[in-house]
Amino acid sequence: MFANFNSMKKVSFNIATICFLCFYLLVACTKFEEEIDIADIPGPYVVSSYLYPGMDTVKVYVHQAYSLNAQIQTGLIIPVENAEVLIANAQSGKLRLMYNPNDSTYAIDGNALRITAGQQYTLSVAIADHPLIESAVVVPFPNENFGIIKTDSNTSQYVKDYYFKAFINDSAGIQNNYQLFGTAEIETVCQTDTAVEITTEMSMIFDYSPLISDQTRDGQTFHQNADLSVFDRFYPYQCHSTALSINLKLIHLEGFTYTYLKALEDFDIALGDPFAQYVIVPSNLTNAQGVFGAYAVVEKEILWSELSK
Amino acid sequence: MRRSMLVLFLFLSCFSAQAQIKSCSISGLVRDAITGESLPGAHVFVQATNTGVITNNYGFYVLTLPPGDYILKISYVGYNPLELPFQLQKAERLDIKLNPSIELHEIEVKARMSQLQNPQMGILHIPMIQAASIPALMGEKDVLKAFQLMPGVQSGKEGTGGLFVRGGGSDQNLIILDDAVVYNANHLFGFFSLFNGQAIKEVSLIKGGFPARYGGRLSSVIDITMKEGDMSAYHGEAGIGLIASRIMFEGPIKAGKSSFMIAGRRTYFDLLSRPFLSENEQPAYFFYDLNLKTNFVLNEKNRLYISAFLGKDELNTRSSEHDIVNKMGLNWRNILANVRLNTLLSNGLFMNNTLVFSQYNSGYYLNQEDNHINKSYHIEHSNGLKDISLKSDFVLGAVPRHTIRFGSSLSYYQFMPRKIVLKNEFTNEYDNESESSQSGLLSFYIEDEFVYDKWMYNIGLRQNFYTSGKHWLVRAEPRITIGYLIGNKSSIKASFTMMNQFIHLMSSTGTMLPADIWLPATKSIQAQQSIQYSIGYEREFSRLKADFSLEAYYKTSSNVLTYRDGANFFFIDASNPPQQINWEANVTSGKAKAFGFEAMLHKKQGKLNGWLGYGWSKSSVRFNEINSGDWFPSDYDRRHDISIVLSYDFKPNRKVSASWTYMTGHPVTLPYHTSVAHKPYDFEGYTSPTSFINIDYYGERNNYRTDNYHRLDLALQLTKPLKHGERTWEIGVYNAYNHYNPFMYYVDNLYGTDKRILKKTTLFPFIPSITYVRKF
Repeated sequence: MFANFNSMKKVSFNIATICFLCFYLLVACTKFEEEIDIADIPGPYVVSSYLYPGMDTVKVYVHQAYSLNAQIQTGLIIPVENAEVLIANAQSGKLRLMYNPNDSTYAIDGNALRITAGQQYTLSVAIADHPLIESAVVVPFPNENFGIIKTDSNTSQYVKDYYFKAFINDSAGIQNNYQLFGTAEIETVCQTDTAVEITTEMSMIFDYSPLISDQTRDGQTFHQNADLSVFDRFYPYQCHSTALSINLKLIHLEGFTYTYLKALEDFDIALGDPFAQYVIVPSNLTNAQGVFGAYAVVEKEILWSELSK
Repeated sequence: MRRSMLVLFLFLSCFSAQAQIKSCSISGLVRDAITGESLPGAHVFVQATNTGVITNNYGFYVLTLPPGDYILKISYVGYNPLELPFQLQKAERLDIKLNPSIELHEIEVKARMSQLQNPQMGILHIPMIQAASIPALMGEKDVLKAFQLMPGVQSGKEGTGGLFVRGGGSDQNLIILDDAVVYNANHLFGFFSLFNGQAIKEVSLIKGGFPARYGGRLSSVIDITMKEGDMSAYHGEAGIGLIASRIMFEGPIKAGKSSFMIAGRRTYFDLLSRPFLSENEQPAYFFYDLNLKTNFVLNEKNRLYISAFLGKDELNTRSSEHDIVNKMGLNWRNILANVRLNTLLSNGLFMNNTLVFSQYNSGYYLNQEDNHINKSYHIEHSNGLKDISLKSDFVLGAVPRHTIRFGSSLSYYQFMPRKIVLKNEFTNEYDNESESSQSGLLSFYIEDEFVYDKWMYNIGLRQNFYTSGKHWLVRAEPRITIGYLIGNKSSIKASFTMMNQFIHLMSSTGTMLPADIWLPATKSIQAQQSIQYSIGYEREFSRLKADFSLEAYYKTSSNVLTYRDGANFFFIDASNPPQQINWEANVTSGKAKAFGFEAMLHKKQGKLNGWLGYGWSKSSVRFNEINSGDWFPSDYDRRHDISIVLSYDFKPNRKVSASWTYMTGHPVTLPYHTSVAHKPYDFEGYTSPTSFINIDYYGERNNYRTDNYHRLDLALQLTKPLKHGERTWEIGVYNAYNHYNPFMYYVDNLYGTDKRILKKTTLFPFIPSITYVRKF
């Protein structure tokens, strides 16, 4: 077929080949997407509440999920206003939470419903024409066995880097789940033309606060690395920064609360990634989605001068 | 177990009774008369006794007959059939050489009875010459994708090479390349298979009625044989396509005594795209594979084969901003090597010993370099599997009408589900941790293939002894296929097979990404097991030179695995160090069942050749922890599957081919609802009533069925004989009428808003291709 080409035909052939390749690249690199319709059926009820010792107000969110097809801006909450929300506890008895339209929650004062570590609380939400929504949670005890040590430092022309290792000593024999947060308080002194200005700011020392479970490391010590950079600035004024203290906050999570928050984290990571396994966020409520969770917080402030190397 | 032993006893009794009859065996090798290559799958038939056999992977055949005068008829697609009269008085060896046919489509095959008389059912076979004419995505010929066009074999996502056979998963296919198990048969995330068509001589897929010599997977056996190399002359073939180029070269090392074949293929996305990319952003992807095979005729009775395969995929990206350089990459690699020794121990007894090494590794890495302060962060995740196996296989033809096969295999598996290397110079953090485990499998098998008058059967037993740590399993697998010839044009067959699978693939996507990990069966994640019943009808249309088959099946499986809801293997972060990942806790096991029927009219020869196929199937699974423990459709449950593949030689050296496929949509899990999920505190740990994220609610698993899939591909091949060899231009079109087939469904935000919407993505619209192949 191509044996008897004259030169003109060859030129035409080459042009045709180039056009063909361009067309190929154009089509092959195009991503075709279209929006699809799915059945518009009412969504499940979603109930969310977290308890922790000493909380001022106990709040319960009750709302209804809506179809992906619904013309509703995501993030909008459709509150359920006519539910009967009760929380029961051996100490406080069964108490009803009242709906507050200002923040679309059912709430009760923390003095009336006192949240205490080690106590079990049961939640029930009654909505007309819907099976009773129920759940129970035991509020965990706070864990005070944690701290932080300075491991290294490095000084360059305009910056000082400090490296730390935070630790959590796990209690053996019971399931524990944690999340650790840390901030440093930094004081900056700037010499302006006319005055000395002193400002303080908080800087996070962990790039990321992972959810930690002792499921396979019961009774061990968990470590988390941290770092802090303190700058010396020369423009527009000569400024000098000093770290004053480290603030650590250890959140001790009840078992399902950990599972739920981990699933939310996984969901967030997997969103938009077509190759990731879809994440189904679990629920510990019967007849509804959401969570009835609990945790306990311990905060520690460690002065910079007390940080040992 | 007792029942299996009883079956074995019965057929051995039958075997010993038959042995009393005075008989002689005729055996030998069937080879290409020019190149000396063995011809596996050739039909050897004796008209007078109405018996026949099919040669094994090494071209060996054996027939045991009473003494007398016979005419042996030998046929093989693409070769001139041969009739050999011979006198049988004692055990004899008769090697047969077949001449390749010059005009393939004009050959009339007379000795076809052996196909109907072969008790094997559920087998799909595509002659390589036919596979080469099927239109392919971007012109890259792919035997695995050709199987996707046959009934009973479902494809996964659009364009990918995953095979889902009779309701099974993609990990339930035993893919063997020259006796070595392939653990990831995909290039480019599954869009192309590992197998370079130029290097392949023979390929078949068994989807039911498995003979006892095969084991280790539940759903199918894909047996691929590489070319051996021409023993008399040097030949080659080179091809240039849009995405890859390939070359194959073969020839004698010592004429008539030894030969070699070497074939390689490489993509050039990375090389072609480099000039168009800025220095700051450089994604680069390539894959290559290399096949090598040599064989040596040591003497009359012994022949040595050495084969090797290396295939690698690598994706690297690099981006930089100021002094920060970010690099990311992922890769996967298969290495296979084996040594095989064929021995004709005596006339009628063939032995093959094989030592196999197979390794699969995959991984990904992230690297960040700060050139200003000369520090870097580097993290690597990898996983892999090593398989070292020793196999012995025997074929014995000592009793009239019986072919006895027996053998053993011993496999040692070393699994490395996770290895993490961390070098963080910013925080002085260094880590190098890995997990590994071992398991072993010892299997023995025996099978008897028997053809007598109108009856035929293959009865076998495979006995497995498996260990993983302190966990021991002993599993027997009885296999029975019985057939009956109706007239001389058709037959009916029925089979019962039991299969076990002792390794699992933990796959989050089904696309064999590096996050997919092979793991051994353990005490808590038991070996998978399946039982399949099938019944079939075959008919031969001599004038059409075509075969028709109709098969129905019912398959149940136990201990099949799936992810628990919410499980996530893919994202490994600081909160999931390797010692904390509990694989067994992330999966749950359950049951599966599948049933359906498949019809196929296959014309392997003639100016017009191809096939028409239709499959109806239903497959479902049940897991206690998912969908309230109810049965629900499995991932690739497709009700209807139609395929039409035709190739027409309209002029000498001019060929046009077309394939059309239609499949019912398959189930996927999609969210129907969305809402907010409250968090107790913000990212700094402060209690916050307004901290929440938008999440979607999925409801039940596999709650949505994708759009139906259909596609027409066309190809035109223009071949011209040259002084030395020939050249072929192939112009092809994939998805000729540009149907937007679904590739995936996912949730996204409507552009410029927070509103969540469901989207369907099409990956391959109308795609033309052009390929040039030169044979020399």
